[in-house]
Amino acid sequence: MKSLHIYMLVFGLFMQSVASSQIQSVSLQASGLTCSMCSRAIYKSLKKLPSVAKVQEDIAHSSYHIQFKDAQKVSLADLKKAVLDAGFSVAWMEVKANFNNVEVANDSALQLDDFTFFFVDIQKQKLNGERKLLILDKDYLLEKDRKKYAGTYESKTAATDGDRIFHVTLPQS
Amino acid sequence: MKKFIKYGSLWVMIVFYFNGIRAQELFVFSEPASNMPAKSLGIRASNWLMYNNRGNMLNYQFIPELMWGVNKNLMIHLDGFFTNQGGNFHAVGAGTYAKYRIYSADAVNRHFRMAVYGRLSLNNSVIFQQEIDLTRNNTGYALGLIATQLLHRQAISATIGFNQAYNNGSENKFPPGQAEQAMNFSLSTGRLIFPKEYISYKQTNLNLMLELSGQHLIGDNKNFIDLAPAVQFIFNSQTRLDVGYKFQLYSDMQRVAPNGFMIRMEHLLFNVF
Repeated sequence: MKSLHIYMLVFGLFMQSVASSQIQSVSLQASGLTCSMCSRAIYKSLKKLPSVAKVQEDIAHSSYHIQFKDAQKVSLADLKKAVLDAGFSVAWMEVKANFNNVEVANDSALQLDDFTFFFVDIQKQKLNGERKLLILDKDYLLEKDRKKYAGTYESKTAATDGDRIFHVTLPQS
Repeated sequence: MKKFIKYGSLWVMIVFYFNGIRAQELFVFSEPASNMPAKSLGIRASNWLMYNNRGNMLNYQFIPELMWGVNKNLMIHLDGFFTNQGGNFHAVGAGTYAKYRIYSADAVNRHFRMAVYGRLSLNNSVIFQQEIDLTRNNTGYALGLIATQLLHRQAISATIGFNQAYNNGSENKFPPGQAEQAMNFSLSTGRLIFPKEYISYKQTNLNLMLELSGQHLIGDNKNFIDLAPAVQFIFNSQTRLDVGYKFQLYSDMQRVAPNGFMIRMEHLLFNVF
């Protein structure tokens, strides 16, 4: 099983596309809350992260739009931890980036800043302009939504680095 | 028994009344299973103004409290107990309370959570009632379980806890023959009145709460049930003002001051540690 993982990683690297752009912003929705005091706790928790420049909140939908001082230092794991530390969970998290003719397909790996994103459940296509990537890994998506995808990738690709390697799909917008 | 059925059906009516409206779980007379944010500090000042059954005197109790969110699962309170009992305002004890979240299932605008709690209280006041109250009258400890369900727009929270009382120091012994152990329970629900739509953290929130609480003395087989409506303002999504009125629905145990007001201010400091 381990050799299969290594094979898939090598295969993944072979298929890898390097996007010239950086992560522009991250949006996330928190779950498990309704009150504004709870929402403000998440806001404050996200705001104190050193890489975060600005957080725009949508209290009614418990969602946050996060812009960064330096995209190179972005940690998606820190964003997730900030929500958990405030006492809640991440319902979904989307990474926004600009693409210029980047070819992606299922199981292909995309290098963006320090991150590697493996694509799941998409048609082979070229990404152009501003696109969002929905993260599918555990604790980054509601469990009931994650289960729709989990079976399709967990046996195939080895995402071993919880902070740098993620599975993503292209959300229907 | 008839009385229990009466109050039980009253509770069912309350729950149905609250169905379908946005509820809150920052309860006034009980703790929800959720914790305060990690690394935050809460400062709370509770003022109890209770009518004394023995005379027309108003019992005043002041409980300052520091609350610390250690991590996402653990929070710790430290509180002091002050009273005007005997005519002069003085300190009678101190306590600590810890709550640990053991289960959490979150979805958008809903969650089910469970937590265990423990309390340790020291008190040197005179014991002149059968009710065991570890925040105002008794030395002892409590252990319990809290379950809170936030479902769409309704929140219901239930607490069950065991209380053990001891002598209040060497001078104020626990009255011989009186039950030293009790089970406490509470059922709480809350409702957001304002704002109708959240736009900003600066909007003042107005919540209405209704809480049912009671105690069963183990051994004595005596009980009381209280009902406590409360109004809660939250300013700037950071400062709380609670005004509640607690009154006895039923009791066959001796209690000194079961009816009265509680006025509390609470301020939350985020990311302190």
